Amino acid sequence: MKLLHRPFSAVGTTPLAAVELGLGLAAVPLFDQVAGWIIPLFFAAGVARLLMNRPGARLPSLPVKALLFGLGVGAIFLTYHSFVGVAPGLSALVLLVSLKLLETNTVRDFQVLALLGYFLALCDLFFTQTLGLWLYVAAVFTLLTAALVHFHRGTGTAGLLRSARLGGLLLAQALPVIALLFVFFPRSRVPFLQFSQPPISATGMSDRLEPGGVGSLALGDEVIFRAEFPDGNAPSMSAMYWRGSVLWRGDGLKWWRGPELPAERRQGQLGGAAIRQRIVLEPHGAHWLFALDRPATEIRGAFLDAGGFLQTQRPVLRQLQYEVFSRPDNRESTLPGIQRQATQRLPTRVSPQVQTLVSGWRTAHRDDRAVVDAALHHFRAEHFTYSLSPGTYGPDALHEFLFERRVGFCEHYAAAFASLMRLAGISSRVVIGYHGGEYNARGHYVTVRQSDAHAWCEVWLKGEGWLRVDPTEVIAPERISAGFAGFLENREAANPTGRVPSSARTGWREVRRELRLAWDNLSYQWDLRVLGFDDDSQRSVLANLGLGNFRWAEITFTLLVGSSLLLSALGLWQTRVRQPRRDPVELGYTRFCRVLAAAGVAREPWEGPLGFSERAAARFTSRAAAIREIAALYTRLRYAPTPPSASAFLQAVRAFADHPADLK
Amino acid sequence: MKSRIDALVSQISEVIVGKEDAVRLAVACVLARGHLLIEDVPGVGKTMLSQALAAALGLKFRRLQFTSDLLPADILGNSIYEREEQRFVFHPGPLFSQVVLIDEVNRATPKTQSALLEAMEENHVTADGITHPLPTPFFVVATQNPQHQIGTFPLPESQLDRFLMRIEIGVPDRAAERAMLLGADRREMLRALPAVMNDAALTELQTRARQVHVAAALLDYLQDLLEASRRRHRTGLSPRAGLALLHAAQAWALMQAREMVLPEDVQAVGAAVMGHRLGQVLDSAENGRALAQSLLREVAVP
Repeated sequence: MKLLHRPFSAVGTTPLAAVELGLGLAAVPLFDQVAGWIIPLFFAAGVARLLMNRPGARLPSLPVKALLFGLGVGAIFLTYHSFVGVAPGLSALVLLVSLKLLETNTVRDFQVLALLGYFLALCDLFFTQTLGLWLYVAAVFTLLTAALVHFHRGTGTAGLLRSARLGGLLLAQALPVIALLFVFFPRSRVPFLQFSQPPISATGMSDRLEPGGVGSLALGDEVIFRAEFPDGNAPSMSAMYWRGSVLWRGDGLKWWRGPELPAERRQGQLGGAAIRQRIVLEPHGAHWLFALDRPATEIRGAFLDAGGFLQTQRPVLRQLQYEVFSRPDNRESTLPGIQRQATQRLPTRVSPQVQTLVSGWRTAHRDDRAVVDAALHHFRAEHFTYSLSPGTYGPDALHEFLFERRVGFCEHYAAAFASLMRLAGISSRVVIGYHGGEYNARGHYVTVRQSDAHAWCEVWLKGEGWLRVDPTEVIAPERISAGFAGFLENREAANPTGRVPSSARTGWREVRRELRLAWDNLSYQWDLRVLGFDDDSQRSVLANLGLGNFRWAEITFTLLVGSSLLLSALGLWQTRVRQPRRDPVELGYTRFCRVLAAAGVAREPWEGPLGFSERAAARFTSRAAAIREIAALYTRLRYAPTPPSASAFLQAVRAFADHPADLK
Repeated sequence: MKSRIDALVSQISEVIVGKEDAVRLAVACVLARGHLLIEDVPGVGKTMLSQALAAALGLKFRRLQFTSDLLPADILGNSIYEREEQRFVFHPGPLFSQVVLIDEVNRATPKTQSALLEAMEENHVTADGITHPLPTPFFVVATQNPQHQIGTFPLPESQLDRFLMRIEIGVPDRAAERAMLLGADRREMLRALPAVMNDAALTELQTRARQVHVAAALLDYLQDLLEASRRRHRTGLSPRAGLALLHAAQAWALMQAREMVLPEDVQAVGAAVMGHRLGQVLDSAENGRALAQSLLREVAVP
């Protein structure tokens, strides 16, 4: 006999499709890390393998697989010129998964495939670990487990949904172990296994200010950091200036950091109340840490640089959490000579009109503060406008800005103002950072996004120290008071050509905003409490548990013992003998038997109610009637065709059990 | 109802002195529409018990002595050619009676045993393609000597199963034996024994026995017993054995004038019903009994 359609595969189509879906979902977040040509190959392999599950189809032979492997490895080398590194490694992994798919034929293959899926899903977390991604990975894990369960159940037994339920249950049962490991697994200061995505320089803050060369400002809503005020003394939104970096060198509208200046000696001259902030900083690849104006404490891995901003030793390539104190009222008494020198450098191109303007202020006012006020007044009086798309400026940007176009955003104003101050002989510098943010009432924290980027100016006034002057506040006060998002909304509402937003639309916008805030809060709490659980937090938790003086060996041992105990308990619970729910009659009879047992006549397990009661009645003749009555009631309840109500029996048992002393 | 059954028991007990337990079990067996196997040494009153039972029930009684040369036709009946009618006419054998005592059932050849047991199971006899129903009520009491005797064919397990109960009578105790020794001639007494029932009354009692209520809790217990026997023995109790146990317990409950079956009823008949089903073929009666009793001691009443 000739076998035509010999079933060749031990892998059913449904579990195969499920595990392929899991693999695909696990691979999606890796797509921008692997070579582009791998992606179509990966999907093609999945589809091809599904087609091969039709009767009569065949899996590719060994030479074909070897050829594919050789080509793939060669292509990876051609793409990266190396096999070392994250991208080539991941590309190779995805390639091998694709090839494994093509040869999956046995039970073992299927299990390997599912394990590869788990591994791929874990690779997703190498780069970022946001709450959303964690939830996604958990879903992929559930799907892969469901595929495994479904596969092992065999075809045609239960629906995939039921397998998914069992898979989810299996994973849920792992939660206690996860929690245990989360608390006790030794943390190290050095990240254990973490690659960082190349920081996206376009969205980060740069330490150059060149507003004249930018036609319009493209501001994203990427989260830069989130800040919490543990002591509850948050300043008002308009006073929230997040200091990022200080630019000492300027030329017209162009400002940059200039040569390194020695940091000020900590003089303790900063006054005012201290505001504590707990900040979760997203990786930006640069060296600054943000804090409210002005940071007063150094933190681990960072120092206060000249100009009083926090600078890290290593670029921030992964999420960073820190606590910092700021004192908003600064009172420096002396300007270090080297800083004075640095701030006396003047712009190279100064047009006569600019020179006249500044000399006019200088001759009118002797006092530096009066000059500052005069300059601010000039901005207010001369109809300067705030715009996010001011267009580009020519070579003499300062003149063009001040006398011809008079349009710009905060960076124009900060840069121009600082340059004017220097021309007037007042030491000035530009500070870049962020302003305001979005307050999340649920989580009591502030989210600062890229669109909150801001630049302002600081001038040195004798006796007052460095004083913050924000010319933007003068030009566009609503930009400062309402924050950037509010500013945009107001402008949109004021736009006469725009349609009047209906109440339904604003309602929907409110709902969306609420949802966004809630989600933002969730991911912030996740970052703070789960990802932020570092070695310090672990030490304090362990100290609270009374393990202040621990050694890692002990902890590891405890961990092993703890998890095995936990798992054994789980196993016992799983295999426990399920006791049927006991009804009151049953309990009453048990009580009756217990009382008699205490008096010396224990019911044998095999003994029926009549036999037992006769035995007991013979022993306790004084209560024989009661014993027989209870037994009779019980047999009627249990065995009679129409059982009477249980109350008489329960009452009799209660009355009987209340006087155990009568049993003699 | 109860008085009538009690009267029956005491009537029989007048002849079989001091063996009320065995008598009660025998009566229960009749009420449950089952057949009875009495296994004991000769001379303890096996024949006497069955005769007394038949007499007290007012049923027609026939006695059959099994021997090794007995043929199936000898007990079932023959078709004999009647010259006048010019056809074969079936002449019913001694089995066509209401109470049949088969003495020493294990002496007959397996062929004859099979014919008998088949008739017992089917309640009719088929000869030449014609089915002849047996009378109702139909009740077989078979006696058997312990099997280590020479020249016997032990009943196979499958056929032992056809008997609802297997009981022993045993030698009477000293007082009872004395009473028997002093008393009148048993045969005289038997002949004088008045019937306390007729077949209509018996049929009614049998019907009522089947109507005794069986609660779910009791079935739980019964099934626990069956399962325990299957766990403990390679060949545990069959579903038919379970039915037998249930019917016997119902009959026992009826004899106690109870409207429901209690675990005690099951336990009372348990050894008699389960003993010969659990004991291996070559085992003695005591062995099967002990197995049944230990099973009853092992399974908890739920």
